[in-house]
Amino acid sequence: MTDAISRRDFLKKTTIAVAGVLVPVAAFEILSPDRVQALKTGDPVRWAFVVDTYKCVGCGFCVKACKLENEVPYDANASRTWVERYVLTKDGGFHADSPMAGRDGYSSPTIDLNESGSLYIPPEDIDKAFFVPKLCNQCEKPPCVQVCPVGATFRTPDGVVLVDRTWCIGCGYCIMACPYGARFFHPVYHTAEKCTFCYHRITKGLKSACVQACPFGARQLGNLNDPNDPVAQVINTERVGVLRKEYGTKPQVFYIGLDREVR
Amino acid sequence: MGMAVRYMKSHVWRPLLVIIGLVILLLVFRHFYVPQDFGVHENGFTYGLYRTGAVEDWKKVTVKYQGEESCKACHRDVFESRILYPHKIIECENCHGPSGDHPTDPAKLPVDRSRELCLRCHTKLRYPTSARAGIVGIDPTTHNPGFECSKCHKPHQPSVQFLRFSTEDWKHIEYRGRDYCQNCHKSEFDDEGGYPHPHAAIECESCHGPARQHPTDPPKLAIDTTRELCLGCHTRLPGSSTAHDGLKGVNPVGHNPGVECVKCHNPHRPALQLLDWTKVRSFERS
Repeated sequence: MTDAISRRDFLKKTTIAVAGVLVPVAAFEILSPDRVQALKTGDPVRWAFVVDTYKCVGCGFCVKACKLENEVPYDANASRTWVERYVLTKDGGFHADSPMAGRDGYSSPTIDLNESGSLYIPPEDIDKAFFVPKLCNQCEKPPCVQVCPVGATFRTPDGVVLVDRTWCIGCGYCIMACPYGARFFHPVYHTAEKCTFCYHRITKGLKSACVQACPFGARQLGNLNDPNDPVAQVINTERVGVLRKEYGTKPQVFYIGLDREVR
Repeated sequence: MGMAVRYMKSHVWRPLLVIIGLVILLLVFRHFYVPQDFGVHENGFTYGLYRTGAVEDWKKVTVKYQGEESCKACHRDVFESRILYPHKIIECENCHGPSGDHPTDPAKLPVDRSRELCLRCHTKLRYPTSARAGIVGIDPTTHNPGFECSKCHKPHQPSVQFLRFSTEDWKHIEYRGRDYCQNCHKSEFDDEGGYPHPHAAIECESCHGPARQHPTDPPKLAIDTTRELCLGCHTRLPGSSTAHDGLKGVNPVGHNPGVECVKCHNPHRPALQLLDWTKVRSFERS
């Protein structure tokens, strides 16, 4: 017996090793897990959201309904969804606020500047002003999920990012990782909290609380995998945008009438 | 191999055994602590490492907002009383709160009558590019500050013609409201000729002026018969076949300019079927 390996053995073993490495890699790459799931169940649902900023009047009924439906303490300055106000003035100025997440609506023309006080902008100085409802984007590539060290947050097969309250250790990585500021600590449970698209409602065939509460139809929730779904049709056939596309998170909340100042 | 074992004396073996023991303990602990359904699921390790029970946990959250269809089942009369008016787009629970298991729990739903509730939409904000600019609005600092809006405005029938002018709090005001007029002028309210009567929605005082203490003061009310009064609603909008809110509209330049509308149209019975055609024809001849 000699230490030297024969040419035949070398080629044999190399072929087996390379094939052995390639097979599992190929198995993972050709079909995405989403696609496999879709093929398996046959009736795939992919939840997606459309916000029409032209229709929003800043009444804040969505925020009120969300907080009460999802048991987020009403007076805590934390909310799963919120409404932002943008005021762009003729001199190129830019102002935005969202006092109490817009829970009580916007009943004053005065902009809230937090500790810096407030600012009244005369209507004649305004170039354009509008309201933008925000919520979790339920990203297809959610950075908040990637950074979770314990597997307490995840993306369901139907495309909603959820938090497992029994498993969350409260490290806050996900809150830091979200580019949209959509996560916060729940004041009671002390675990990461976020919009669930009202998972308990949509899985029963109900509208999410914010969609139902909006009197103007500025918020719509639908199934992206159903070509006849009105929301899917808007996303597929109209001009819609997403927030911070450059982050590569692939948001599933689509906006009509996004302004360049809205991030 | 033989060389290695020979040099691994007890000072190496003992800590190694401890470490192996700890690892085994950790694995045993992990086996019992980590739920059986925890693992890598559909979306792979990066996005799909989770406990499947968590999905079920979220599905179990109690639904609080039941939606207006569930209110309609019992409160059909209230539901239908509002379907002709702008507030029909507002969910009942936006103002009455989430119904939960009503009528069991809560037995009675509260009503939010605060000014703040109405001001969510009805503070006038002149915001170009936002639908907010198109909503009827007021300046809350000057429009009856301190008063609940529902003292005068009916939340279910918010259109101006249904204002509660005769409300106790507003005795001092000039406009007394149709109920006051109806006390004496019953026939004007009954005489509808069996035809649709669109103007029934308009307050008497909108055309006849404030009743104040009529018939004492003033003994006789004026009648505003100017074209301008009618054209306030009935001017056709540019680019549309109708006036505001789908009302019948005319082009005031082309439609009998200079002639008072009431010459042909009876303001109390404005339907086209009731037009005084004799006057129309004589007018056409002249």
